[in-house]
This record gives sequence, structure tokens and C-alpha cells, in this order.
Amino acid sequence: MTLELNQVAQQVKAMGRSLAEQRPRLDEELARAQSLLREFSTSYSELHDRIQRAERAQQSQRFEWVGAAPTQEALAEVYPLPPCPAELTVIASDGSQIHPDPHAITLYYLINTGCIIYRHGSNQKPETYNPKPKLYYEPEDLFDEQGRLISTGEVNVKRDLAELEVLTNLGPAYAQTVPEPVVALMDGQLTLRVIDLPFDQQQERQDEYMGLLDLLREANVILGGYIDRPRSTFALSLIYLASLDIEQINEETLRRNAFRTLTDIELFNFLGPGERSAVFTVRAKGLDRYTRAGHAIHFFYLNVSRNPASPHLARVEVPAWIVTNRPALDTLHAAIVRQAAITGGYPYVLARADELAVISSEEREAVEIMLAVEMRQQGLSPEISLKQRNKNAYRFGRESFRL
Amino acid sequence: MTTALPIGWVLRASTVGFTVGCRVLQPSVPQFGDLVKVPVSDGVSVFGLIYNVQVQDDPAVRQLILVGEMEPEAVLDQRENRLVPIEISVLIVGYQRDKQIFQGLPPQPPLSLDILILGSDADIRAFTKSFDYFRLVLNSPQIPGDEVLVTHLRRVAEVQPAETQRRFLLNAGRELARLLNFDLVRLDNILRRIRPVS
Repeated sequence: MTLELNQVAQQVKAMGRSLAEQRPRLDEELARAQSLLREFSTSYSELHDRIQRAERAQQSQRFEWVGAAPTQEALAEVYPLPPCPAELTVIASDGSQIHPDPHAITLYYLINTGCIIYRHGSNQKPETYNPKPKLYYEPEDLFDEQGRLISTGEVNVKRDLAELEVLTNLGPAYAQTVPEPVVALMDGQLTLRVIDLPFDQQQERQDEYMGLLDLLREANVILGGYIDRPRSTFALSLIYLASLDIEQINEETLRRNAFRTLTDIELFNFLGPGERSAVFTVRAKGLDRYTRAGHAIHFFYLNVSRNPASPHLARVEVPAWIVTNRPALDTLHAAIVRQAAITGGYPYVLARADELAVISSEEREAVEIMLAVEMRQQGLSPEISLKQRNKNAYRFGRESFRL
Repeated sequence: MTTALPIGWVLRASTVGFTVGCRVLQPSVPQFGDLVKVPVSDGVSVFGLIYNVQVQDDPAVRQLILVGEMEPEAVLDQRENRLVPIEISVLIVGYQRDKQIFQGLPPQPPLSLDILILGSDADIRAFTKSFDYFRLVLNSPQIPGDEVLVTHLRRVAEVQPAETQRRFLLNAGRELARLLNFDLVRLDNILRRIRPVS
């Protein structure tokens, strides 16, 4: 054991004291934020004016203003759990990957996806679907034109695309064949995170991604992205603008957000079991392409718990075409709560899709062994790096003496 | 009882018994008291009787139970799609080398990942021509030997030709009487439960 736990223990005590001391201040800030939420609940034009001023103030800065904008729903209102259709299909997909590792026996990466189709009210076994895992090993898969190895971010983009592709293969097919509404759930935000890609590839990948979103929209599949325990502060950024006089909004004041230590799920802690918040739009320059394509990203907070004593808030992202279709929005709301009720707080289908997609460390090891055998058969010498060999020797070969 | 489909794979084994891992229980998979077979090498198979079926712990199932919002679709998913681990414990009662059957312990146990199959009717009739394996079952500690034997004999009688079923059970009863003549209460408990229907 190299970590001196006795040294950490003292700091843990200090940390506990600090957390307790912060609480009264946080409660005070939260009360103020919630009061502003109620005060500006329907002040849509005042809030939009402030947002425009904040966006203009930030235009010259490296970082744009990112926050929530109101839609037509009152900000402080709670929206009760709508009735759930007795019959309902919920599809979820998830992905997993082995990233390329310069210290492994050879360079490659692998993407695996899993999907489950759960038909509520059918009394039927849910269908599971695992597309063929894809192994990437050709030089054009691994290196760019300058010979740089593909980054983990680029692999993640491929995985995210593969996850959505599974939904677009199955969602429209089910929407055509089953009489009930079809909901497609993704784990995480709806947007593709392309920031790690070279600029030219960012647009290409986003176009590909939005092409897939188009397919779901055309097939009337009710799409949602589920973010568990979000730390987002979109609504609080808006509330901070509400706390300022419009003339006060400038680069300087935008840098000093009075609510920076709070999160949106604290702001909406008044949501009861099954209730959702108002729907907001996400305002961020990077999302303009989604807005132009008709997929403007919106979100609401949802208390998926059935127990009033232990609320569990998630953020649910939806594209604009779901927001304008109230029955679809209600179905998504009810479907998520029904799914979360099965496990006690997290959509069952997302947990199962993760289980179907995940690559365990044992499976990764098995892939490496298969590769090593194949390389030997081809007369090659598979060897891990000396750094990796030494790490393995010191991490896993050491006898452990515990107190 | 004629299926030769693999039921499960050997997890661990010793000369006296072994444990098999398999997926969810189905009506077609072996039941308590069934005679099962594991082909171990060319021409050699080990025979055993199932004396325990255990559903292993699974955190996801435990969570569903705690929440209590059981939907039929989720139950089917857990039972039929997920790899719910089930362990079947088998007492070894004999082996077959080429065509010859020996009742008693084999020279070597099965190995990990050997396949378990259900004994066919022909296997059962061939194996139960003699009752030397009764002593192994009755004397094995920590297994419900009397229960295993009662269930096993009832099932074996069913695969005998109708005209010999009664004689089969009477012969089995005589052998049990010989082995348990020192414990009449125990003997009576078994004989009453395998008594042929007249």
C-alpha cells in the first residue's frame, strides 16, 4: 500500500467539516435562486432580452454564453406524471469500446453495441440485439494523414454513432410494425461530442449524426437522452441573468456567477415523484447546427423516484420535434418513470443495454490472447511494451500485507 | 427423457461429484433425481444423479426484488435473456467404458467445461440393470440421499416397459431392504413412496 491513509484521514475530517460549514450558505443561495425562478416564471421576454445581451457580451470572448432559455412553459411550474399507455415499446442502445493502446501487443480498437426492445403490456420476453462487434486495425482506421494515432475522442464519436445507428435500424422498423408508441432512449446527452475531432471531421460526423436523427423523426420514434445525476447548471445560468439588471450584464458580471456552487437538480428539488420541470431550450453556439436541422436541443428535469422521501432527479434531453408534439412528450415522460420504477430509479432498458454492450476486462483479455495467438501463427512477435510489463509486474505481482 | 442436447458445462469436479453451470431452468432441463451423463473422453462417460439445483445470487435480480415493481416482461427478460447462473450438483454413481457400465466411482472425474447431457431412456435402462449404486447414494453425507433415490426410482420405473415396471420397483425395494435392514423407519419411509400402484 503506497497511499498513506493516516495522512488522508486528517484531510477527510477537514473535508467533512468544510462540507457541513458550506451547507447554510448553499441553502441561502438556493432559496434565492428558487425565489427568482418563481419571480421570473412567466417573464419570457425579459429573460430572452437578458439572454441576448449575455450572448452579445460574450461574443468577443473565447467562451460563449451557455445556458437555458424558456419555452412556452412556466419556469417554476411542476408538470405532473401523465398516464402511461398500457402498451408501449421502449428501445435503448448503448456502446462500449476498447481504445487503441500504444503499450498493447498491437494497435487496434474495437466497438461493441447492445440494444434491447422492451414492449410494456405485451407479456413477451424483451428482444435483445447485439450487432457484430467491429474490430478496427487497418492503417487508415488507426492513423490520420499525418500519421497521428486516432484519439480516444474519435473512437468515442464512432461508438456514439454506432449506438444511434442501432436505434435508427430498429426504431423505425418497430414503429411500422407495432400499434403502440415507440420510445427510443439513449444514455447521455443527445448531441454528438465532436470537440476532440479535427475541424473538417466535426461537420462531417455531425451531418452523419443528424441524418440519423432525421430518420427517427420521420418514423415518429419518440427520442430522449437520459442523463443520470446531472451536474448541469443551464437553468441556474438563466436564473443568474434574472438576478442582474439588464444593464449590469457584461463580461465582468458574467464571470462571477453567484450560483456557481449549485446545480440545476438542487434548483428543482421541489419536484415530487413523477413530476417534471418546464421544458427549456439549450442555448449554446455549438448547437446551432442542430437548431437549423430542426433538432434544437431541449431538456427538462424529471423526478423518477416514486418515494417522496428520496427524490431522484435526471435530466432528459429531447429534440424540438418532440417538444412541439405534446402527446409524444407526455409519452416519453411517462415511459421513463415507468422504466425507472422497475429498478427503483434508473430506466431498466438503459441498465440492460449497458450490460449487453459492456466489454469486461476478462473479455478484453480474451481478445488480446486471440490476437497474440493469431500473430504468432503469422510469424509475428506480439509483445507488450516494457512500461506495461513493468506496471503489470509491480501492480499485480506484489504480495499484499494489510493491517 | 431422450434429449441429448447439452444442458450445462462442468464448473468444478471431484471423484465423488461435480457441479454444472447452466442457464435458466426449463421444463426440459434435468430435474432433481435425474440420471445425467458427462462424456469425458473417447468411449468413457461418467453417470451421476442430480441431488441439488441452486439458483445463484445476482445483484440485478436482488435489486428488482427489493424494488418490488415486477413487470412480466422484466421477469421474462431476467429468466430467458440474462445469464441467470444456475448450479446443478451431481453425485457420481458410475461410469461407462466403451459399452460396459460400472457402478461405483470413476478413475477420473470430469474436467471443467465438459458437457452435461440428460441420460437417454436406453442409458437409464442399461444403468439400472443392477442396484450396486444404491449404497453410494444412501451413504453419501450431506446430500438428501433418500429423497434422491425415491425421485430417481419413480422416474426410472416410468421408462421401463409397462409389463416390467412392477417387477423393477419390487427388485429395487428388495435391494433397499437388504441395505437398510438396520434402520426400519428409514426403509419404510422409502418403500412406502416407491410402492408400485396395483
